[in-house]
Amino acid sequence: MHERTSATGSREPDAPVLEVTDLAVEFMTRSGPIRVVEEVAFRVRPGEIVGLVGESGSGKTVTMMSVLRLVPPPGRITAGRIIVDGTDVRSLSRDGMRGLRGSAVALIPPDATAALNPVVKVGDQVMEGVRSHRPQVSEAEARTLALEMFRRVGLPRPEQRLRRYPHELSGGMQQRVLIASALQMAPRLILADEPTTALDVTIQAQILRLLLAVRDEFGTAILFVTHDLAAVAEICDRVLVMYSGRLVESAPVADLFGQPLHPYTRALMASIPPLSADPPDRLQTVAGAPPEPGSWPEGCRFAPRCDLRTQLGGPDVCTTSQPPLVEVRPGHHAACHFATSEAGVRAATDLAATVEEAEAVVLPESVQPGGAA
Amino acid sequence: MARYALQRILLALPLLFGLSLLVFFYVRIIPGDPVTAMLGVQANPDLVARLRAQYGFDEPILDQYLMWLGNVLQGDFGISFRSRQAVAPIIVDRIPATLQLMLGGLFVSLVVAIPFGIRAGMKYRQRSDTVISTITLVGLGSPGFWLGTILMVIFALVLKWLPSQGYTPFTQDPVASIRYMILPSVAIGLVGAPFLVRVVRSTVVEIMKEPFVPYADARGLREQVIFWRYIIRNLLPQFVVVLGVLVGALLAGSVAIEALFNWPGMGRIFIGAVTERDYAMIQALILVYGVIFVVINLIAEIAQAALDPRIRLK
Repeated sequence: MHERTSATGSREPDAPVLEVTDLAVEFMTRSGPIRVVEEVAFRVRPGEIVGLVGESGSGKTVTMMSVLRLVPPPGRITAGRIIVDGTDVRSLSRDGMRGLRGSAVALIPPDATAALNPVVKVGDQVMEGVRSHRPQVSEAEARTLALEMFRRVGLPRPEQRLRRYPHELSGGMQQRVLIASALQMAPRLILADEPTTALDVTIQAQILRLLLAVRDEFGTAILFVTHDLAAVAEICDRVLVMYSGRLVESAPVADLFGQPLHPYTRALMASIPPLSADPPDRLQTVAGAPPEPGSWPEGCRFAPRCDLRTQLGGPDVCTTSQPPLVEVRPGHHAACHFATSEAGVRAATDLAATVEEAEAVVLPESVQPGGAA
Repeated sequence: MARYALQRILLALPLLFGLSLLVFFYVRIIPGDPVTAMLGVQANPDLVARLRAQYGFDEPILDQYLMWLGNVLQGDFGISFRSRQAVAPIIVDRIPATLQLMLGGLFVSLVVAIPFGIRAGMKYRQRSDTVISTITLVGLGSPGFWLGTILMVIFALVLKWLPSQGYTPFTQDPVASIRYMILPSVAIGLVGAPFLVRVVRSTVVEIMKEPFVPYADARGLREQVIFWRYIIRNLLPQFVVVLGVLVGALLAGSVAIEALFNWPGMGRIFIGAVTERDYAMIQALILVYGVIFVVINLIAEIAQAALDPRIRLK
């Protein structure tokens, strides 16, 4: 089994739990490999919640699944280093990898209903996780641990819930079961893949608060993959924005919403419907569609949809050279040739005001994490 | 669960009623009159009329049906036109042989189909799947009597390993009984196996696509746990239902195989009864086949509910 240092282990306490460097993922097709993720690099520190946002097909889920080396076929990690808690994931054996999955790194999948085995009681499903990783744990000990975790994630009457089949629980409760299952091995990192998309809005809020509580209580770092910027604003410390397989912006959450430096990030934010009394006649969208992997344009991949570029009169540099992700301000990285241009800064400041207003009403304060879903 | 079982049993009753209607009227629809069949076309019209009256063929059809049904419920299936003997004891004598052959065929089907079906499903569109699926396709196109003939030629005539014809009751001499049943069982089983391979394969493919399988992988569960608890455990409820259907196919296949291997089951007298228009015998046999089929499927449905908690609720 995979050995790992505990939170207070010999390594320096602030060493990142996840460090991804120069990650590239390709899908092997008959007409050759297609790159879906490239040059992705980021870190997640202990206890940090990092949001990874982008449209469908931007490569965010592929990036996240790379950490577990579970990119669905025909996808393959072709370059880069992935270090989880000091362990180089790409060099692990099959068994070593299995020891890491569900133990040091736990996954919370998007659709709890589909992720649970329909013909096995949820208690048994949670218990089989511990028993798979630690065969010496007795059935009774595993049950005690599962009960404890059910309590911690706010499942009412946990003894009864253990004996329920998945279809006998609501969607919110199913998601709590998965979170309990993820927590029982005390992972250093949780990968949460759109953990709230399949849920009602009020339940979404409860689950988000639960994730926050999990971080605060267990000190677990969370990589939170979502396309829901409101959820990001609510729980994340830092945000990574992906577009067409590359990171285009990375910043602490306050900085990102305070001054979004990349035109794509701004377009995403502008498409959040305002929560003012008068709904707009038309919802704002990011114009155009993201390019298909394999047919990415030369230069900046967002250039064809970029309104900043239009404002600037279509400078050639956008379509000839790929902008690197550079630190524009302390801790705030962006991949745009004109991140600090006058027009760009103006757009960022204008938008920030609207977003601040939206953020304030995202979650009603009355929703508490411990409540029944 | 008990409620579900009871509900299924109650639902089977109208099915059996429908079966009785079908059996009775189906035989009446077949052209040719049993009395004519018995006496020949040039028979004395007076004699024909007398016999028709004796068997009740001149009564209104509904009365005939009710009388027949009443008798059947009391275990009286009528008199065979051919042998002039009661039908019921003849059939009862032959049920064990047919059931034995069916179990043998079922066993062969399962032993062949389960491992290959699962293998093909788990290696979907990989080489072992292609090989298995191709052989399956050939198997699907091979009729039982043809397979049986080939088996008989190879193992009985050329190699002389097994007897080509005959039967010994299991209770009398188990070893001889099994030697006799091997070839016909394999012939029937190989007819059912390709069908079962296909169903198992596609079910496994569907299960492998369910998000709970990759999620189990992401939890670092051991491979045996994923195989038994996720794949096989989810395959079972659907598998038992297919078994019910398979038994029907095996029963149908057994008619030809019994004739081929001179196996003294219901199938052999069935063929004779049809050619001789032995109404009472045909009716009784179809009814017995039908009841076996309904009962097996009833058991399969109840077993499915026991294996899948989602069905019990309905």
